[in-house]
Amino acid sequence: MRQGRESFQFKKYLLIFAPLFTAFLIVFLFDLTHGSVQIPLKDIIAVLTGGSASKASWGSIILALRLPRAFTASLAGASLAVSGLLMQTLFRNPLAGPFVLGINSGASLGVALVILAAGTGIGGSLFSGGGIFAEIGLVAAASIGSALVLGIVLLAARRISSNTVILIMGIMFGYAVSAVVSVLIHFSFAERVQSFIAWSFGSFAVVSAKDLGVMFPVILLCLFLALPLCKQLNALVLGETYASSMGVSVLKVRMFLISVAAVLAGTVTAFCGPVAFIGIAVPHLARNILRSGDHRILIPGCILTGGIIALAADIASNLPGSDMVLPLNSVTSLIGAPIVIWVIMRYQHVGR
Amino acid sequence: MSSLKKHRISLIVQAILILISLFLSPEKPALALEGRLNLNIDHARGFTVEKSGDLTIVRLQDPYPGANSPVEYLLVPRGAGMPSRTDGATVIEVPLRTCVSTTTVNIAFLRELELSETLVGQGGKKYVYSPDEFEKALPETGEGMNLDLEKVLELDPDAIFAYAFSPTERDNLKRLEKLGVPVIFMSEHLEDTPLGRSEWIKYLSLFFGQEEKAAQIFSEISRNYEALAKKVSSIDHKPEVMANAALNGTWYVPAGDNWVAHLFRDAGASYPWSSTQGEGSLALDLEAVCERSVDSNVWVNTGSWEYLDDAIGEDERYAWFKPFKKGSVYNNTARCNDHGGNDYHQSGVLRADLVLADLVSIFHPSILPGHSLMYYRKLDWK
Repeated sequence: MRQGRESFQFKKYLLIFAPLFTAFLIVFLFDLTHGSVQIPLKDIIAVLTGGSASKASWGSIILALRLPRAFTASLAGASLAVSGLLMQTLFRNPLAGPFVLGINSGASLGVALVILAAGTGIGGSLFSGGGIFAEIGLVAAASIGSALVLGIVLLAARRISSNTVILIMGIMFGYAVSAVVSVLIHFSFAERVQSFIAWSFGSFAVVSAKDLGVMFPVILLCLFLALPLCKQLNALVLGETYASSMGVSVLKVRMFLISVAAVLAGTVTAFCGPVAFIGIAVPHLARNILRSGDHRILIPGCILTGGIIALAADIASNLPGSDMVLPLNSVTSLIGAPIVIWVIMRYQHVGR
Repeated sequence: MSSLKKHRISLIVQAILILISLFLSPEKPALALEGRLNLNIDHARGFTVEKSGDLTIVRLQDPYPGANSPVEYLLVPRGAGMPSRTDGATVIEVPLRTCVSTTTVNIAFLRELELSETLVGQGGKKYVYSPDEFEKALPETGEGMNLDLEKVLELDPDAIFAYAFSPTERDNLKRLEKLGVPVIFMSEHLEDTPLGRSEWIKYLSLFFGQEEKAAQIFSEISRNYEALAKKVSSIDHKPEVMANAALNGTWYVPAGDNWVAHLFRDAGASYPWSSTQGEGSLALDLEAVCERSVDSNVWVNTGSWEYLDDAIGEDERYAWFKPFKKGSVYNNTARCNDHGGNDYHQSGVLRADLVLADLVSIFHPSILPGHSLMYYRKLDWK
């Protein structure tokens, strides 16, 4: 009996995820063929299979620029989607997303201090004197910023029993931080403000292979930590009271979920900037495409769908057939929003 | 008393910060060459040059705003092979045969040095004022945050000249360097004197083995500049100048050590914020500027205004200022293209003498009778 159920499960998994995985691979490969320099397909295949391209520079373009970019997009999409899913389930709120607790605000404050405050009028000589702020990398600054916010949220989460209060706290935190960022912008120079704004648009292209060496293990670890939580997550969907009656230690799970979701979102934000929309939209897309509320299906579903959407956004932001690059965030939102509305309208009877 | 105390505290804080930054900055022994010869750099403070035999060391004090360690370039003759010690310096084979540039200032420098043909790609082409046929045909590589790494790699230049305002730009350039394209930072915009900026033509020329030509060009410019400044310094009457315009209620004006403030002084104007410290801008509110400048004689560098009407369109209160009533408002936009490219920021950086002449003829028309403005224009009503 048990045996039968498991093989059914496996078949079901295969049926759902084989097409999704194929789609992911296709988009991934398409992303590699795509950039401001036209490289023939046969050279791309040659480079990927360990050969050499007919032009020396093409090898490094594909291996050092495009491959990291495509990996970054896949990882970022997957993490944001899972992070968003965890938050939506925890807060039982369809509008929740990875940044709802102010993780991105913390990151942007860190980055704003590095980009904007170095050498401005704030504190006059204080900032320009040492030049310390200017030398800290953006990744470090964003990580420190989001870790600080995470710490505060976790402290609060231990004392506050209501999820709604935590949610409101996160949002208030966001307002407070953006006020500080506004002050920094006010006193900064045009070039700095522009580069801060450019950071806030998000980008997958800035992550190098070396950065991936940090980003990849962290994200992989968090995703693996999220998987065993499926049962508790499924119980949480029905409410905290139900979950605790099922033997779920709500407080413990909450701390754990917040940590995993925040580290996922924080890592992506640290390396790619605050990539918008994917984290809120992909969980809805996954629920509707997979027609399931079961987290055992939703988490891997979100990983694949998130990767696909992020890769597609990366392709679209590089504007096929032109030199122009659009801000990543406007692409994710502009192209993503209608798709999500369409999917949700179409499957609204399944939508939760 | 309290301001003195504040000052002392800020000094202490600054000292601590500098100490910390000393600890943080990686130990980097400076290259030392036997029998070295310091090349004459008279005005620019951002770079130094030492020569010894075939080798040249160019040391860039501040490769970008807020940097806490210098960058060194070790210039070796093309084909001579790697030197035995580089000590962390970037080795560059000179003369460069090809380069990519993401600054428009280099267009002016390269033209003057007759090296334009070495350019194989230009970032921010739309900001190039009056590009010639050759420059128009150059591939666009993007600049700043939008630098297109793929494009640069494809063009495979001997080096790229670039600004690095933000950490993101620096990371991008670092990646490029790892992929085999040496990055040569430009920071002439950090100089606090007009001649200091102009002298950066020498910096550029080193990478092409054209030092002598650059020295000739610069000595003529500095001679002209200093002669004119000397002539002006004997005049007692100094008209009061006000600068820039408000942006969303904040009025940014050049601080006292800013190169624009230097220009005002050398052109014989009195500038209310001349004694403030700092090389950047002061963010003032409307009131502060109004109080000091409402009875000024001349108003210059008014941002995007093309006509006096534009000012009134932004804020009617601009009409309160005396220069506005008298119609002595001048903007540095005489030579502009439609995309925001301004020759004032291109050839004007090199030709500090011509910029000074413009300002002198605005402040003291009698000194340069018959001078026709080059970079500046008087604003009129539509």
